[in-house]
Amino acid sequence: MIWHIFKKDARLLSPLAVLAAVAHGLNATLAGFSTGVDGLYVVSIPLGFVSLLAIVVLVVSVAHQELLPGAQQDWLIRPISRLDLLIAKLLFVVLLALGPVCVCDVALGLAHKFSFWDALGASLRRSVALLCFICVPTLIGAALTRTLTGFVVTVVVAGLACIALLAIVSAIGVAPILSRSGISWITTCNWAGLSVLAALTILPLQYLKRRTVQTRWWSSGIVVCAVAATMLPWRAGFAIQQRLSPQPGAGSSVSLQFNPATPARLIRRVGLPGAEGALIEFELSVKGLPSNTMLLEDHYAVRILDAAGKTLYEGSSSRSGMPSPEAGLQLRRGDGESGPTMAQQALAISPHSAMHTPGQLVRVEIDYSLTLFRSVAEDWIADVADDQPLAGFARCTTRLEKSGEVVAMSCLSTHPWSACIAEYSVDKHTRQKRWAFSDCNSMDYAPFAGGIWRDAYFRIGWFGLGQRLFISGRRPGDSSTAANLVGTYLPQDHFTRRIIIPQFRLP
Amino acid sequence: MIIHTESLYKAYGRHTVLRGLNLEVTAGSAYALIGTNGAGKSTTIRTLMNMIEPSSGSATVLGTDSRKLSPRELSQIGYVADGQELPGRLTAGQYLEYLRPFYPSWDYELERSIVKELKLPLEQRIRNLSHGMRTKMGLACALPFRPKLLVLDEPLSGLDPLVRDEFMGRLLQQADQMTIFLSSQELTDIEGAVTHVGFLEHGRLLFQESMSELSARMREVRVTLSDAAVSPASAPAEWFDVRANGNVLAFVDTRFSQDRLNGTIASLLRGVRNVDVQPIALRSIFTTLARAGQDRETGT
Repeated sequence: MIWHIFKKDARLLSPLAVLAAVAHGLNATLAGFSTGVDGLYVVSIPLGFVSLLAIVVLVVSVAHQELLPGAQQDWLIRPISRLDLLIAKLLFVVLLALGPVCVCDVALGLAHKFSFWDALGASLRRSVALLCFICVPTLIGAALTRTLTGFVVTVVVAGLACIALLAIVSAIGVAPILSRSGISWITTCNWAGLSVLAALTILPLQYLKRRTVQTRWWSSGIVVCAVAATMLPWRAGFAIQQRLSPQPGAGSSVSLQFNPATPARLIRRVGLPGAEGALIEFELSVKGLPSNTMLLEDHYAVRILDAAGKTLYEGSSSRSGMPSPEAGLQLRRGDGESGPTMAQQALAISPHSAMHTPGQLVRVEIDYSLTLFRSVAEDWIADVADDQPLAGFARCTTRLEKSGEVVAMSCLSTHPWSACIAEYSVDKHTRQKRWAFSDCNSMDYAPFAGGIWRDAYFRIGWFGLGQRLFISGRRPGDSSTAANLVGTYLPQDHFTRRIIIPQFRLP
Repeated sequence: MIIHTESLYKAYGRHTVLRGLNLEVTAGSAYALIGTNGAGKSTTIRTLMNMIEPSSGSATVLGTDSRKLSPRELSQIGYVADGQELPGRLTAGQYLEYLRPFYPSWDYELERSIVKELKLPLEQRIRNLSHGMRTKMGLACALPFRPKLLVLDEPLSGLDPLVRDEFMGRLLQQADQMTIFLSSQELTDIEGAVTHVGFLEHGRLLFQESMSELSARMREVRVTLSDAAVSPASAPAEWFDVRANGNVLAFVDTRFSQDRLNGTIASLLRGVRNVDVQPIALRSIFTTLARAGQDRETGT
């Protein structure tokens, strides 16, 4: 009877399903025409939300065809297997709510010249993500309510409860430290796990047993767990990431040391009198950085101790409470370069009552979480002018900006981005590379892909934001003297290092 | 036994609706569960249909624990209720078409005849049907598979006399093929159809017996006296609704036996000129019992 129930729902909701499919199609079409960094892309962002909203409305509607709370529904006294009903609803979600999205994503991928299998893989991954993060929670919410309004109220209440919960845990000093870092995917994974758990427990509990009150408690518990999942300590999260390093040990030669030749100094005090923080600057000596690599800091944790070893202050890059933590280590080592690299570091320390003894000599310990990127490929920038694969992991296009000098490059990938790029100017006679610019985009070290927002693809763009980025490329052999080369760096190893500033005098 | 409950309790928080209900509905009977508003009739039916769970006690329907009613049992049960939530977006025809495959015994010809007889507009969406039409729609969805048990929860509520007649007429055509369990306030309409009655008061079953037994033991008695009538201070417990009006004393004898009545009247009343004994309609039985219940409650 699963198919029979599905057909009934499909017939009833076909107008809504068609509208949703149109929204997905429009979204994919606009995304298909935009490069990812242009105005069209910005304009089309709301359409992405409309597309997601259409999925939500469709899922709520199909669930509400057979209301679960209440005791007057006709279907309850019909010989309808509740398991069949649940499966029929899930089938509808997969085929009619997610199916059109998947088809649009595949079409978009093909339009962007990805292979069919790459496009299908990315689309299926997105569909799974949508199922976990949109459809299952929506289905649970709908199974607990009787109307769309009731569903919206439930979502708003749950959202407010989450915000309140986050505010409470923040007040006691716990922060979602993994968010907006390269390892935020661990939180995403936890959420996916919770979603699967909810799908396996809450949905059957409500559909098979109709225990609405019990289901509400379970759902609240899952929401609390989802909030708690964002509070994983950095060290535990990064330890997982270290185990997943593509080339473990590639960064073993890298060492960081405080350079005593340049004493640490206070740049400025910040905050209000009586609750002042500090921005301190010191110099790091980085040794053992292999050729053609880049080193990126993911996170730092700082501890300040007095002469007796008592901790005066503990903070991290994510909860320093300062306007802009400045540690931000980012180093590049080119071909044939040797010797240590010096890096100026500015470290933000939150206002703290124990830090108010001027002239006090303290010990500063900083734990860095680092990622080593290695150059995996180099492409002549002229080659990516016409939608060519860049370094084998993304499709990129370049566009000459109106100024005629700056080139904007945008790339589309089926995988999350954890890439740095560097631009070199290459002398056509000597073939010598001269580093011009390097940049790392927001990191995402996820071992899987599964974005849910616009479509199944990951976009990245490099603009000449206040600085020259790419001079329009020319190939070697052109009459000009130089051509531009773009080097792509991918993560190789994740590791930690500790540096110690043994004597730092508090100003 | 088609329906059997034992010490059935249902409470919503601190509010207890059913208090140890013991029901017995035999095969082939037409059992009317009657009682005042809030007595627990709908709760009883919804518990039996597994729409709500009992707090304690047990209920079996067609020999199966009501909490474990499976599609196999439900395919033998028809159900029509006032306020039944039918899928409003479907047309009447679409819904009948949707239901057919769920019932192995669905009789398409019977469906057609019911639809024709009840004048159901098959092309109209259920949500656009009038209250009466929706109730008839409920019946049209409950009869074509020739249910073994038909459960009706206030089916006639809010229907005009014409629709009631159509509804009952259709029901009676199949009444001999199934067991009927119904709750209704429209006692005049159902009186001719029911074989058994259970009276529910505040979640307790005051009695359940066959209609013939009930009719036999309930009589309206009017005693004309030579002097002004006064309610006897120690009227027998089986006399309900005792009223004195002029020189007439009226009451309902709930355990009627001509000999016993004569003896009791002779011992309690003086100057008896005439005793008029009349059978009593189900509706009057209900009002008498309900009023007596209210009197007990208020202590009058």
